[in-house]
Amino acid sequence: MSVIEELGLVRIDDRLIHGQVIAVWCKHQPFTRIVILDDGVAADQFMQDVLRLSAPPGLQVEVFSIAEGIKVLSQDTPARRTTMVLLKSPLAAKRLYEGGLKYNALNIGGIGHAPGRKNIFKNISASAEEIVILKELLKQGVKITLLTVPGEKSQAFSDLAGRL
Amino acid sequence: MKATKKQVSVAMVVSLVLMLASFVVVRAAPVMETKPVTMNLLMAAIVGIFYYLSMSPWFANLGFTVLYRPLVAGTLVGLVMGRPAEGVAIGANINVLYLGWISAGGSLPGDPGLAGYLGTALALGAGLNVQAALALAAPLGLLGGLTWSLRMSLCSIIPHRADKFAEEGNIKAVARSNYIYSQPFLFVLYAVPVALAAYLGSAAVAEGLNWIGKNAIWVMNGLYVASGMLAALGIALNLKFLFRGNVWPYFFIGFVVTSLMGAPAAKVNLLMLAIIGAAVAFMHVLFTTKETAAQPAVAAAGRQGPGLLTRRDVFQSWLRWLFFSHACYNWERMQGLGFAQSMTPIIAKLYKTKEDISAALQRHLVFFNTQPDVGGVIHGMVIAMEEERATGADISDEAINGVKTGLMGPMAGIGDTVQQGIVIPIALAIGMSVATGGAVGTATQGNILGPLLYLVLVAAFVWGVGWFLWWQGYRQGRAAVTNILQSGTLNRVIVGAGVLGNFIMGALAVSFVKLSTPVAFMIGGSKFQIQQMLNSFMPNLLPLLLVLLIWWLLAKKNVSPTWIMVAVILVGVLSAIPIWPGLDAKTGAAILVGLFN
Repeated sequence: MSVIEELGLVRIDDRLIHGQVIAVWCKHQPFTRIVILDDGVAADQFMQDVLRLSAPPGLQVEVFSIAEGIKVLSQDTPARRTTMVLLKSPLAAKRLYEGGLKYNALNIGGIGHAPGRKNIFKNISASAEEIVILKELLKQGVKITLLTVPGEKSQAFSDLAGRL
Repeated sequence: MKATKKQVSVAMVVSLVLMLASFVVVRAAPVMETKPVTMNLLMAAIVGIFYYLSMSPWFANLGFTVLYRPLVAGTLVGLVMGRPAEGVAIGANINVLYLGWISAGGSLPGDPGLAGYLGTALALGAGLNVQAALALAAPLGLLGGLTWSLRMSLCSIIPHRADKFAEEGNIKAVARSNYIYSQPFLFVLYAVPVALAAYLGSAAVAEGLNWIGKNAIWVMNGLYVASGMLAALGIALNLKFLFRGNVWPYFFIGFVVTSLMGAPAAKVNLLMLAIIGAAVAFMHVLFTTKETAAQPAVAAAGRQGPGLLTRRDVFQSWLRWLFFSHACYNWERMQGLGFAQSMTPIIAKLYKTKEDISAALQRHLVFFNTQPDVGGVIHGMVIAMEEERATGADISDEAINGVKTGLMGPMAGIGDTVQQGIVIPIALAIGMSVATGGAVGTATQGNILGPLLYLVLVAAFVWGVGWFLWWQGYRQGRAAVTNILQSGTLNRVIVGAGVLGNFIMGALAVSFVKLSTPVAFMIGGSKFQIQQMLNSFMPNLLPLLLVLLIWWLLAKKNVSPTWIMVAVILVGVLSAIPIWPGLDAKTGAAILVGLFN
């Protein structure tokens, strides 16, 4: 792996940009850029407009499909440390990792409940397949933390994995 | 958008109330020796019930936004215990700590409601003064996190029952699951512990106080110092959101203007300062924002609906959301059940067969979470989509769900920024200032107009903006969202509020934060009083430095507010140990004093 700077934050949050991200994370860490990687949003002009417009001034929002995103984020840019990558699901995190964008840490901020998913920590739910994916990532050395916002109680996935 | 007659008259009523309030501000009464109120079981029970009500859905979304705030909590407890004026003053002072308190996405650090209700009850029951009440309430607020997590976990059970009712197509039972089945449990969880603590705690606190009075009177001075310093934490928490971009200089303008007016010695009317701040904000926005090539408002005329729903149906739906959005808030679905309940009048009107009703209920029982006022635009859109679907238009479950899941995040981002980040802190600052005649933390008798004014300001936003956006979402669909976002109005409001917010926080750094030093000594017959020297250099220098120091720790060093709170209380109390050189005010003799007062 080329030695390029760590990304500011790689986060799974199926609500993408919302109160926790804008009002708390972005005040906690000086993010200048949010990169959303999701095939669905990348194909939906309306949602892109909404996401772009709902970020406060000074925060750049970019939307890519996962394949495109891997290319874009593999380039070394000065803004990497202040970039937040937002993904909707563990599957997206896996595709990103296997596509060559190796990150060392993964934050899970929120995965809503849906049929087949069970609640694993606070507002975070996961299906059996998603838990398998997360365990794989863990095995590859990714530090996975379940944390909604800084200052809240956090939970290391490694401590949880045994019970799931 | 042209203001209608109705809007103009509402604005006039609101400004009349504001003006009236500013005239009737009662100056703080002279310090009175507080005598404890004997806490009886009935009083304690009512305090517990109030705390439950502040977390309950029964007040049209004014529970969490109004009753839950210490300013209002203190007032209510004061009324129950027969000391309304003292309750207002205590509540206002406890609220300084929670001026920058924000709950986003279901995360609830600290508990202003618990600090407000239990803190005021214990303070009145034990005869604590305003300052000691804050020092007591501050750690109490931390306990709230425990019940919150329990509530969010246990309420996760209820949606599963609602799923069954939805399968049966039982509309009423789904609604009941949300707003009734959750409440007995929440009542027990919130009311009982607080009532017990209020009943049993007063005596213990009074006894502790008695001991301190006999053995270590300096601790009382220490609590006084800590109370004056804790306000800096509340302000700094706000600054974490405000002190940025190109609007931070207004913090210093607010600070200097208020200092020049002679505060804190002269009581400054914050409402007047807020008017200056608002005027400055208006000019800042006028001079700095480029008129964005205004995109023509899309479909401003509104959608031509199929006419299955009346305005009344849409309003009924809004009312249910207004009241019950968080009735059964839980980790698993968050506001999912609340969303489903809000759709019940629509579903009942649009769908007639059991299959259709059941499918619609299940469609809306899924995870949902947004900011309730601004997020209402989503419900409006969803109602319109359901209406089209009921007429046979090809609108899939995925399309409806896509609107919900796609927009709930961005709308929450905007809603939290505007409501929790702007409207509530500014309304609180004004309410607290009116409540104490500009003397938060020293006034012992408060004015009930303060909390009332706060109520009016917040209700105007929560109800007014909430219904407006809900209706726009229904009438204009996607265009409503892009119009809100693209018109530039939103950005202007946020920039302007940043100016006003910084200005007010600068003013509060003078009028809320209290920190000075009595250290003084004689050298060769001439007096050296440190505070006087500081004053001649720059008045209110110590409060300013304290606010900036705490802001720096919070924003730049990521120190947790809890640690800062503990540190401030410790520093306050320890600094009161009389080991520093001072001069007796009357005789001028050398005595030992605390570091700060």
